[in-house]
Amino acid sequence: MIRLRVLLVAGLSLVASAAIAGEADDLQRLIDAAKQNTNDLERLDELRAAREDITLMRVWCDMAWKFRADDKLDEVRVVYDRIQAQAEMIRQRIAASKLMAEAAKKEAELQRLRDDIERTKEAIRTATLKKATLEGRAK
Amino acid sequence: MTRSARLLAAATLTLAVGCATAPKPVELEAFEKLRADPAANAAAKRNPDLVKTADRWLAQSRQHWQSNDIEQSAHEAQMGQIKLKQAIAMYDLERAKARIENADDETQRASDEQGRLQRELASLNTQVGLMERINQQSTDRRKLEEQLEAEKKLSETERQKTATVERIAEAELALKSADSVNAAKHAAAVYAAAKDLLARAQQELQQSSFQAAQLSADMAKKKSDEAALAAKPAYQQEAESAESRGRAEALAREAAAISRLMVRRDTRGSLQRLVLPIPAEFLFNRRDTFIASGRDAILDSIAALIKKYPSFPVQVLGYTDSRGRSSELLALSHSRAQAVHQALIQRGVDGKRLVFSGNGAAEPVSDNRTTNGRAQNNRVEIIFLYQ
Repeated sequence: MIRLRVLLVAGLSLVASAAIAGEADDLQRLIDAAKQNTNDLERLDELRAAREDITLMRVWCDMAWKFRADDKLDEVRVVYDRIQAQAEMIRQRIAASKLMAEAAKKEAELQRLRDDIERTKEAIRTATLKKATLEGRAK
Repeated sequence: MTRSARLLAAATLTLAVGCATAPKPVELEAFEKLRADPAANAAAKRNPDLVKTADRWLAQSRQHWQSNDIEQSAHEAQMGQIKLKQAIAMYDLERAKARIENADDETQRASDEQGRLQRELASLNTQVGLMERINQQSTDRRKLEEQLEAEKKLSETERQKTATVERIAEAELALKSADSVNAAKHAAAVYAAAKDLLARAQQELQQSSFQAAQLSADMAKKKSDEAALAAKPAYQQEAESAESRGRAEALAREAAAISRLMVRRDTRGSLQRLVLPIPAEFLFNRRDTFIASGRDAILDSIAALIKKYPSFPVQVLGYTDSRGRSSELLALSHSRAQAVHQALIQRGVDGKRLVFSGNGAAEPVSDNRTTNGRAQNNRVEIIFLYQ
C-alpha cells in the first residue's frame, strides 16, 4: 500500500513535470514570436513615431526571456500580456502616424493649391486692370 | 536611557520604517504625467472605454504603490500607459482621417475654384491678347499713316522743290538768252530787274519758300524775255555793224595786198567806203574805152576780192583828168567804168552787186597841172560800200 502510494505520488509528479515543461515551451515560442513581431513593427514604423515604445517592447521581450530562463513562468505570462498590449498600441500609433503624415501632406497640397488660387486671383486682377486700361486707350 | 526606553524607541522606528510609503515608481509618474496631457482628455471623449480601462490601471497602480507593492504598481502603470497611449493613438487616427477627409473635400473645392479661375483668367488673357493685338494694329496703322503722310509731304516738298529748281533754271536760261543779246547794256533796267528777281528766287529756294521762289523765278524769266526782246534789235544792229566792220577790215587788208593799188578809206554820209583806185594807164591805152590786151590781170585779183566778200555792194566809177570838154570826159569815164564793170562780170562777179558810172573830171585826187597828177586823176575806182 505504501509502495502503491509512493508510485502514485511519483506518477503524479512526472505528469506535473511534463505539463510544466510543455507550458514553458509554449511561452518560449510566444516570446520568440513577440521578438519577431518587434522587428516587424520596427520595419513598419517608417516615420519613427513609436521608436521608444518599440525599444521598450524589446526590453520587455528580453525580460520575458530572462524570466523564462529562470523558469519564472508566472512573471513570463505577466510580461507577455504587457508585450501583447504594447504591440497592439504600437500598431495603432504607427497607423495613426502614417495617416497624420498623409493628412499633413494633403493639407500641404491644399495649401499649395490655395496659394495657386491666390496667384490666379492676382493674375485675374492684373488682367482685368490691363483690360480696362486697353479699353480706355481704345476709346 | 533605560533598557525599556531603548526597546520602545527601536520598536517605534521599526514600525515607522515598516509603515513608510516606498518612492513612487517612475512608470507611475510617467503614467500620471501622460494622463494629465490634454491629448488624454481629448482621447477620453473619443474612446471612453479604453481610457476608463487605463484609469482603472492607474487606480490599481496607485493602490499597490501605497501598499508598497512596487513591482505590481509599475506593471499596472505600464499597462495603463499602454491603454492610454492606444486611446490617444486611436484618437489621432480618427483625427487624421477627419483631416484627410477635410483636406480632400477642400482640395476638391479648391481644384474646382482653381479650374474656374483658370478658365476666367484664360478668357481674360485671350481678351487682353486680342485687345493688345488690336491696339498694336491700330498703333501700327497710325504709324503707317503718319509715315505715309510724311512721305507724301516729303514727296510734295520734293516735287515743289524740283518744280522750283526747274522754274529757276528756266529763268536762268532766259537770263542767259538776254545775256547773249547783251541785254545788260541794251535793256539795262529790265535786265537788272530780272537778275534781282532771279537772285530772290534762289534765296527763297534756299529758305524752302517754294511758292514764292517759283513766282520770283517766273517773273525773272518774264523780265529776262522782255530784256532779251528789247535788247535784240540794238544787239543785232551792233553785231551786224561789228561784223561788217570786221569784214571791211579784212577786205581792206586783202585789198591793200593787191600790188600797185593805193587803197584808201573814206566816209560819205552814213556809208563807209573802201576805195581801190586803178590808174587808167593800167588798163587803157591813151583815150581808149576798152581794156588793152594783157592789162587785165589786176582785174582778176579785184574780181576774186569782190566774190570773196559778197555782202558788200560795189561801185565802179570812172574819172578823167581835166583836159577836154566836160561831156566828152563824162562819156569817156562812163565808158571806161562800163568796160571794167563788164570785165568783172566776165570774171564771175554777180552783176546785181555792181553799179557803174562816169564822173568825168570831178573829184580829182591830184593836181591836173602836172603829168603825174593827171595820171592819178585819170582812173577807175572800185568802191566797196559798208556801214
